[in-house]
Amino acid sequence: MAGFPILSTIIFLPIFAVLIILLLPKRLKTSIKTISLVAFLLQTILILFIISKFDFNLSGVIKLEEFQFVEKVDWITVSNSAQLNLNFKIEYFLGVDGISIVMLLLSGIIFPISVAASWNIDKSPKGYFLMLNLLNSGVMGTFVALDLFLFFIFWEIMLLPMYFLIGLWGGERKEYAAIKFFLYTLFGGILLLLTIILLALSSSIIADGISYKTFNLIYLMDQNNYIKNGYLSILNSNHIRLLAFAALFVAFAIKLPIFPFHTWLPDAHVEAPTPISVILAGILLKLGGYGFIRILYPLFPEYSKEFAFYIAMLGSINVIYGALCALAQTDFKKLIAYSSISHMGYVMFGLASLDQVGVLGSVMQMFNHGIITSMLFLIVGIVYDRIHTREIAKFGGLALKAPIYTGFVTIAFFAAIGLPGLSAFISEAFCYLGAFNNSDTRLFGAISLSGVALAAGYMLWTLQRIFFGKLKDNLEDFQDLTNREIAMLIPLSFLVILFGIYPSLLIQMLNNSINFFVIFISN
Amino acid sequence: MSIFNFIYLPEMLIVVSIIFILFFDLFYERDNKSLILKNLSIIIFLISIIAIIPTISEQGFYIFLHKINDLHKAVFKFDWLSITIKYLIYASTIIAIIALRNSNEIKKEKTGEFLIILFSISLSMSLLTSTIDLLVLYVILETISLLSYTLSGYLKFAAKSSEASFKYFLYGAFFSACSIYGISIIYGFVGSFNYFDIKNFIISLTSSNYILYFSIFLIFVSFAIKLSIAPFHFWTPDVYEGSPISFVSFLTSAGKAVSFGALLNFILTVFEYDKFDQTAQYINWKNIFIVLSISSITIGTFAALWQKNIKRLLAYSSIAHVGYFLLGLAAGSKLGIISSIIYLIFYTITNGAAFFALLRISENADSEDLESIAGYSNFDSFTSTNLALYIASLIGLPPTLGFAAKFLILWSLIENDMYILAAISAFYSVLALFFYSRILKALFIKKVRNELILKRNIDLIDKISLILLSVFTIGGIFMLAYLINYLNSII
Repeated sequence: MAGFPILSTIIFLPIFAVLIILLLPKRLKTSIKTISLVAFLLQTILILFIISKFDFNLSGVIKLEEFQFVEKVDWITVSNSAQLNLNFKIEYFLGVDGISIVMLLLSGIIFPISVAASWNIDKSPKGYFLMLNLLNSGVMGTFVALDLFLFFIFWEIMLLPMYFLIGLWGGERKEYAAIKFFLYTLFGGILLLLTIILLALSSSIIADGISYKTFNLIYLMDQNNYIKNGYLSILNSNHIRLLAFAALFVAFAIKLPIFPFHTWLPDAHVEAPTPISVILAGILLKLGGYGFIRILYPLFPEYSKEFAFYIAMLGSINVIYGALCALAQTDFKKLIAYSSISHMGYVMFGLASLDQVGVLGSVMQMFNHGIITSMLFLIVGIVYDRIHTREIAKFGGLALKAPIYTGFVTIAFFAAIGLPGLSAFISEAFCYLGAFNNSDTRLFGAISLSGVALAAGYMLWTLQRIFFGKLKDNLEDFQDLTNREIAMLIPLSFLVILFGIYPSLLIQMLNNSINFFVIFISN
Repeated sequence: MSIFNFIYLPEMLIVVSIIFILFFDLFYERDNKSLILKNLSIIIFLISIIAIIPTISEQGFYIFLHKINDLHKAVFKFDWLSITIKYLIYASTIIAIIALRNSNEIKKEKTGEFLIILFSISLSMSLLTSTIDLLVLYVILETISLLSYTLSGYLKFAAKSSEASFKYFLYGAFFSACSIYGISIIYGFVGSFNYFDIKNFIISLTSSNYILYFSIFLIFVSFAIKLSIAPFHFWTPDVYEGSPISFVSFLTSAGKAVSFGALLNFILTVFEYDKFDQTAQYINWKNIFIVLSISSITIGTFAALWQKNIKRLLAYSSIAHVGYFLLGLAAGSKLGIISSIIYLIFYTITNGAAFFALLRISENADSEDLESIAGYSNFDSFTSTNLALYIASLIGLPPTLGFAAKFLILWSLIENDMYILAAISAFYSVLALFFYSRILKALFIKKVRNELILKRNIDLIDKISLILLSVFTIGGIFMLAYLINYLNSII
């Protein structure tokens, strides 16, 4: 299969679907949904195919030759301008290594499920699925792009569809939530853009006897490709490099989201329709974490080490603050949103530890949290579909009425708490182990441990309030799950249990890349 | 010295068609007159665009019809800049006429007149960028202004339109007086209107001549007024609000392009700005551009935040966009000028397109207020979607040409160590997003306020043009390398 552009196929399948959907008349609702589902399932199959052919002995990260399924074409080349004193090269450069393949897999799982969850959308499904397909294309592109300019384009493509998806199909305060999301992420995007320009301007590679400025991420990780007195050259020790680090940090921190840049998230989650919340929490938040690992850390290894203490501190603030907020919520969905913030804190301090186990835990946590939180949001969506309220106080005794539903909920809740045998346990444990291995982050590992207790607190308390006790009157007609809903929840529960019992599947994929990543950053 | 050469081919074509339309309008009396005229005009300008191509090889200095080598006697200079701007003028004229084609904004029996005036403005504009003689510059500027006053007051019985025309006229008259004053002072010093003579005079200066600087300031102001650079922008919102949309579409795109071209021509010829030698320039244009661009972006953006009328919103946003043109110049490098030109190309086409879509929308909704177009996409998703794309480009979201242009400007600023300026201008994009998103919100997200019955369905030609403009908007980024390399080779 050498030469077949399989990654491009994954990215542009949804664009192809967009073109078909555009031509279809509005009334063919089922065909529109089917086309999206087929496109997403094909993507999943292609991703599984990539995994089956993937050589897990190669590490990637900063080694160009160890990336797999590479596609590299010159895209925008400005050259032969001697008097302009400026040549630059933007490449269409895609490739996967152990870290991106795991993220791709996550997207491949979540997207088909989100289509299934949106099956009942009856407000202009054509526009909805157009936007969903565009969003998908942006997500997939971001996970495989290895050229910063290309990365930025895919990163920003996601904004407009997401704005409309929240703003058009959202809840009561959808306008406010949509614009807040848009403004926050665009702000981050601009920081990202400025840093990318600075990076490219300080670089210089020789190709065909001409020196080019490059956007190639892998070249930029090598200080030999920088001009000696370039803005971001490590030799040129000035404050610009620190500023660039801070700018990139904020850009990704907004997406992750790290306290105090998190305030868009609860609003966006609460107002977004269920499938979009699933994508938002399941995938988009991981883009922030992915940005840290793929871009920020390898480009600025010295600051990543130097500020490990503060980064870990922010992570543990996230854990505790998110958990405390979750405890205080009366709205079921907002509770899950804050629990997301809390769980993304683990990603942060696991990564800050720069320990092999810690970083491994951090990436695994992104994957596992993606699956678990998708389940949680689906669960909220199901109950909201039926009784159109999310007030926890209005629920009670649902276990009597809906035993199958309660079964799935129990799996998801216990997974979120981190019960051994379910997937999040291993990744959270790894994050703690990693944090304890590094003297900088040890303190915050210890503090964050209380997050587990808090998680158990709010999750179990919610379980008790909603599912146990006496059945409330308004729940008399509560129907148990339909087949479609069971079909959505079964694969997720299966994965939660599978990766809980046999986490080596994930570890195998990640191990080499992460080891290499940690060695590279530490030196 | 041949009497006839191809250099005025497009202009001659327009002159001939003006005469033809004049007679056609007089003697043809069927119902479909207006439609025939509009379709014909589109074809004429398409041919004019093609007719620019043979003029490329005829570049050089001209005294009216004759090509001469003595640049001190020349009146016109045809070079890359004037040709590029000419393309833009004709393209935005086409967009304006296509917008007009399927609309009832201008009454049927008035179409001929409207088109003749529009043609004449377009004709004058296509000569403005190439002139290197202050007096000719003044005459052409005045022709454009006088014709523009008529067109902005074209909706005779609309109070706003008359107000727009009158305000435009008052501002225009005042600053026209200023510029003729400046020109006369310069003539007093130099004894010539020719740019090159002025340049030589300035070079030969041994000490600062503040009266001369003052007169140059007065001439600069007349460009700034046309470009609506803040703080010379006060006429813009009122004139845009009152004028017919098809004319505003033309005025914001072609008008901006040509004024910017004329300003650039003045600065490049008289002050050799492309040599970026600050000491040889006497006047520090770079700092002037920095201040003016920041003030334009700031005033344009903040004023646009609270507008309720879409035309006013776009008017203020156009002030902000002009700030970005100047930012490219402020970078003070060749790439800066290239990025300014690319920004100009993007802005001219996309802004014209946005007004085109807006005309359809406002005619169907019978209003230009954000509130009354609430939920418009439910009735006409096609136009709304295309407008959304243009707006995405105007905000500067990838993968549009607007993003590419903004990216290049930031690049050239940072390249010249002006990263604080780059950061400030980049963050204004967030505010731009905020006010542009209000249009998106009104179109797509707001609940339908009043049920609309579409009076003017968009027809096939509308659809094709909207789609072509959208393709340009998105596909533009793929032309980026070509544009940079091409401009680099001709500048």
